[in-house]
Amino acid sequence: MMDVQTAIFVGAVVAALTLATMVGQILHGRQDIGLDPAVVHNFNLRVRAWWLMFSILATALLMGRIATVVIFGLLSFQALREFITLTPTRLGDHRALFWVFVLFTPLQYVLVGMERYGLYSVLIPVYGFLFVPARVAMSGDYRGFLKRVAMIQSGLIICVYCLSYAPALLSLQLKPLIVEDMGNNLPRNNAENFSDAGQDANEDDDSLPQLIRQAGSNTRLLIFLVVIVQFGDALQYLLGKWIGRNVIAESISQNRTWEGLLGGMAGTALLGALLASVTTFSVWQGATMAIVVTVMSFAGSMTMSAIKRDRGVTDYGILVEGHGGLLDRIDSLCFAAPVFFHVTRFFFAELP
Amino acid sequence: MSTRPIERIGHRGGDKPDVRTYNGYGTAPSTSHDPSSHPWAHAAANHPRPEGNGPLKKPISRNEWTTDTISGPQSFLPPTASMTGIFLSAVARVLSGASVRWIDCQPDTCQRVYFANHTSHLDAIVLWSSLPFEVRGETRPVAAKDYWEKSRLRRFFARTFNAILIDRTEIKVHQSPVDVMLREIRDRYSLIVFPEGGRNTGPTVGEFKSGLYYLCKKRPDLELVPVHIDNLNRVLPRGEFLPVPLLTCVTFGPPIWLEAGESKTEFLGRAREAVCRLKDL
Repeated sequence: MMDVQTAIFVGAVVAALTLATMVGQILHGRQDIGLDPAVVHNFNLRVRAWWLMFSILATALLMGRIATVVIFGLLSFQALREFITLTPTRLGDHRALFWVFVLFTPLQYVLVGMERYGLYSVLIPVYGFLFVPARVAMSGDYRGFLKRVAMIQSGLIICVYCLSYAPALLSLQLKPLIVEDMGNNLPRNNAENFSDAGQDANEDDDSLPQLIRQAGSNTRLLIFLVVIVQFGDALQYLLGKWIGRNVIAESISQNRTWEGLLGGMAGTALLGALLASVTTFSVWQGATMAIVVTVMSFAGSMTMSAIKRDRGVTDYGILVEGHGGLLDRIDSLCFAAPVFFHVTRFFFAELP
Repeated sequence: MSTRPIERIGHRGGDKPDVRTYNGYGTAPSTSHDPSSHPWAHAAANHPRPEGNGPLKKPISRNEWTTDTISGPQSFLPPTASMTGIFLSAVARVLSGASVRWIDCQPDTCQRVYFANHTSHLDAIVLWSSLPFEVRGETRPVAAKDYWEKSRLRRFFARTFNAILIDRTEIKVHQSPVDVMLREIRDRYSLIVFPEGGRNTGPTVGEFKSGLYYLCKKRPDLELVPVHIDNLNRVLPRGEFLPVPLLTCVTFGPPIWLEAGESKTEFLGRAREAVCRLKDL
């Protein structure tokens, strides 16, 4: 079950995806209009990945907060596998890696599931950070020590810690909306606004009515984040191809241009302003948040591209044929999620 | 990826005498190959299997739902099609995150020897699990008896995977490992062997032992399929007992055969090269 606003939001995303699919198919069939076939192909691959991504996200959100946390946990696990598989670790790192996979990754998501912000925000940056070098040192292999340790720590932070902030959005206690320019936001108090079924049922019984009311807006916040990240990514790519002149870092990515970045920021700001009505943001806030998210997702894909160039590969894995690995698809989300979370928490949530 | 039809020994021209002088279990390998059909259905159809008096100690349960896909209503289901086998191979697939590639080679139930580099205890299990269900039931890994009979759990695993256990400690003249393997596979099963003899510590492929050469000297009709297992040494390295779930890759390459007049060293070098080159493909 979803509240009306979330249902409308999901419906709008599905409609946009359908439109994108149709445009992609039409462009694919018409090679005569002077578009680069590689761009069209890339676009169609992206659209297919979006469908997959969005159906997973929507299913998870429908099943409730705990299910969403579990699914993001599995995504983190797979992304970390891809990351560590590509990094040249040594035999001495084996035991440290074992604990990274079986202790820190699940524990992070358990803490997110338990809504223990004070613990999950420090588990990996502090305890994981200290544990990894200590365990690697105990193995007695000191060659390239700092480099090896840094690789494991980076993997853990990017793939697990950062990504876990996306489902953590669902447990923010958002402030009640300031109603001024948001006339269409009234169904917020409607009895139809129904929180998630399933695992959350027990929590809802003894929680306040406001929390139930806000569950829907947290869901929309997460969809907002994912939509902005993906839209920004695609827009930067397309604008970079069409009007891009000044490549930012040629040796890392030919497709990332200043024009693409600025155009992407402008485009997502528009989309963010448009979507603000379904979130707790005002129009300007929505636009600003969209810009922040776009800059972060740009940073994410640049960083992960740099790692890929260093390892001499084009993709992190072959999870889905033609789509690269999972990490290729969520790298920008990994960087955007923690910043989006913290900005939202600081300005739009009731701090305990 | 090319889908070259698999050559059979009977089709390989007159350059090589057909020297199949094995135990008289008789059916020749299939002679027809229709690439349009199901990749391995034809092999099952042309390859009747002897029933009973096999190496299996206990009767095998029948199972209706696979019988017509693989071996006709008359035959037994492969012993490895047990629920445990299915479960364990699924666990192995998930744990090793194995992506399976077939390069110039197709899955087939014809008799083959899969030979691979050996870096981890999980090698045999992962290779076995990455074969399609129908092929898996007809394929038996070769393993060391002293290791796999040590505990109840290991014996259970060895039985689940239908392993051929070779006694490394006392090798007799009439019981050479190659003879044991040939007796066990009859004209039905395929083999999984690791010709390096033991597990390697690094990512490099060691020199091959001569068993592979004698094996195909006695049974030149067996297809030798090189397999490269990548990254599994990082999942469970030698001396470790806790696996790290990294992603591995199992690559099957085009089959090779013992050429006429090829010396042992030449052949083993060529076989090793066939495994090594798959790493970079």
